[in-house]
Amino acid sequence: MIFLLTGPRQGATMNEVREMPDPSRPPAPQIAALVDRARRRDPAAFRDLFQAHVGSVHRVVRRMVGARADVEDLVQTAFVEAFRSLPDFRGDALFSTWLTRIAIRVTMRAARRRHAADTSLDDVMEPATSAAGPERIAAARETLALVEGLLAELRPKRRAAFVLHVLEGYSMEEVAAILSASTAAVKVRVHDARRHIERRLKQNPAMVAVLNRAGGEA
Amino acid sequence: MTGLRCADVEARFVDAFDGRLDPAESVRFHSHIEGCAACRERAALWRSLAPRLRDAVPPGPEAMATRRMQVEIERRLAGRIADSPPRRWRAWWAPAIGMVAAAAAVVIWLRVGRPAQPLVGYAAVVSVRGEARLGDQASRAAARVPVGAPIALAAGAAVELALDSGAAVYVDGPSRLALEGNARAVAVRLTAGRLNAVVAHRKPDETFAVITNDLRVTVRGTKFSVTAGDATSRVDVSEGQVAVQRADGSTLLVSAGGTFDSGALPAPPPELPAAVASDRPAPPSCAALARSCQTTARAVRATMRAGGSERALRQIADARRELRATDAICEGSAADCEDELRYLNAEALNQAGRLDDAVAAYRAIDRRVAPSAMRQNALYAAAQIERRQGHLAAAAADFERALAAAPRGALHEDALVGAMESARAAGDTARARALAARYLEEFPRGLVAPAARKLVSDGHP
Repeated sequence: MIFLLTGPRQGATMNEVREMPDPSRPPAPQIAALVDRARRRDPAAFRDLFQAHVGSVHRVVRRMVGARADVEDLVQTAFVEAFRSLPDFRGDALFSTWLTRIAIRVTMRAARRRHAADTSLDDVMEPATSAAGPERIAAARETLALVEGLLAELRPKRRAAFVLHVLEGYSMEEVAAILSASTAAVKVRVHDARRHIERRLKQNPAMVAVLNRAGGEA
Repeated sequence: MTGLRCADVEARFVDAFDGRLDPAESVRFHSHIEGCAACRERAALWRSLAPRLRDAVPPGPEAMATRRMQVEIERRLAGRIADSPPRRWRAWWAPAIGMVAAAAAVVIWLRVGRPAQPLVGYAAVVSVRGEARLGDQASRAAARVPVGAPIALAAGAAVELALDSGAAVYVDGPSRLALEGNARAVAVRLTAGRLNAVVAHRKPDETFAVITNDLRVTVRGTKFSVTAGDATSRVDVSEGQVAVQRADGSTLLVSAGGTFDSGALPAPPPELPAAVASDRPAPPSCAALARSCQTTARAVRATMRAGGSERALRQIADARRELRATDAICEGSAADCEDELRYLNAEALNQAGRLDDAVAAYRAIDRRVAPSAMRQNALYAAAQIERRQGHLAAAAADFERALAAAPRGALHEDALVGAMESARAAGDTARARALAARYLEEFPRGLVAPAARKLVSDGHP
């Protein structure tokens, strides 16, 4: 598999993935303690919370907006808004879920404002840290571009519901809470997104071949 | 059949694949699937498709980007942290207070003729080690540094300041200093002690100066240190050029590798005869070179994003050839950009799978006097490649060099863990234990502390 460090392992259910110990993130009780300290404006706690969640927030933002120049800006904004809103965090949900909600809100806001094609000097560069050879890296990049292209075709609300439910593995109810929508609305959005992707794959068998190749490498 | 409709079943696909259905739901789900060909076909499609879509995980942020984001978040938070009231309170009173403040500002401006000095300065504390005070309070990370507030460091203490302009100031204790001026005309008054300044991305109309008791050191380049005593000062320039103005008003330039000690004044350099000076061709514009270099760097990044590592390497080679062809000796943003091209070159080699070349290129960045964060990133990347290639001793050495490159850098903990694990895997148990002990000392509650403890006690993680 290409993204051993960040991707779900083959055959793992998404539940397992979310429950799997993330080496970059302390366990939940430690997160709760960090949140408490951050509420008291302890800068070290802000830093630790950032380090523990930057990967997942970056992944969600990137899946929402694609390889845009302002991914870093959006991630930063999500963290700044979250840290400023900490007094409002009641602890009903996991901190990571609450943070995801803010990240989605930030990206939806940005999606209304900006085009997806802009680039700048401070653009995010894709790291080449995989242990795989260049061919596999190229194949993984091709698959990623395809998936991001498909996601980009979805309307923002459908994209958010699909990313959170199908890719990130949140339940429909969790997605509804994150998006401040009803479960029924989320079901419709995911359904519509699924139909769109099915249609696109049917129209373009080359896409299926790319995905199958990626699956074969796993 | 069952009580489930097709739409209900489809909405449960992911829950079913992920094992989130309870037993009763699961029975009803599978009963429906068995009896409904359309749902069966669609379930099979998504059972195969979902893992492939999930596996297309976007790359995480690179270490330098993470560091950049962290500093920017701290800077943005620090601007608001200055004891702002809770949000709900603000929601009621902020508009009223805003109007009153605006009215007061107008009155003050009319009476005094200029706006009041902002309370919050143009720099933030990034990190503090040891005893350091900002004004009358203990200095803490993320604190905003007000203009004029004295900063005092005890012996052995160290403080890193991030300026809004992008410059960084590293102060070693014992030292006393204060920020003066503003974000566009930075002035650091160093009354005692030593600081290192790394001035990056200075715009043409921005100035950066360090003022001691007898000198004013104005930045023309990027990287230098100033040591201030009661009556004399010393300037060491490691990169770029600075102008040193003495108390008598005379000025001389100190270039990279040069030193100026006001206690042992050198003879001023002879001035060129006017005729000779006028015969010299006008030097090429460093600003133009910097712009051209930055355009190239932007293009290289775009090329690499599209997977064109070989093309990126050609773009970098062309740009570097052009830079070498000019006689101009540029510092500041042009030199910064050249460093960036070197780093991109190493990244492109890595992306192209030319791993040995990439390791050499990453190491070459360390041999240059590049910014410490970049050196740490480069050495860390080299060590990761070496570890994957099974060159464990080399990996351990490069992880340790990454540690040394930026002892307070963003990758400090990761480099220490890498060095420890590589040394252990290479069979150098004594070194691994020493590094594990160091890890426990520096990160007693770190993520790999349990493994480090085990390594220290029995030699196995």
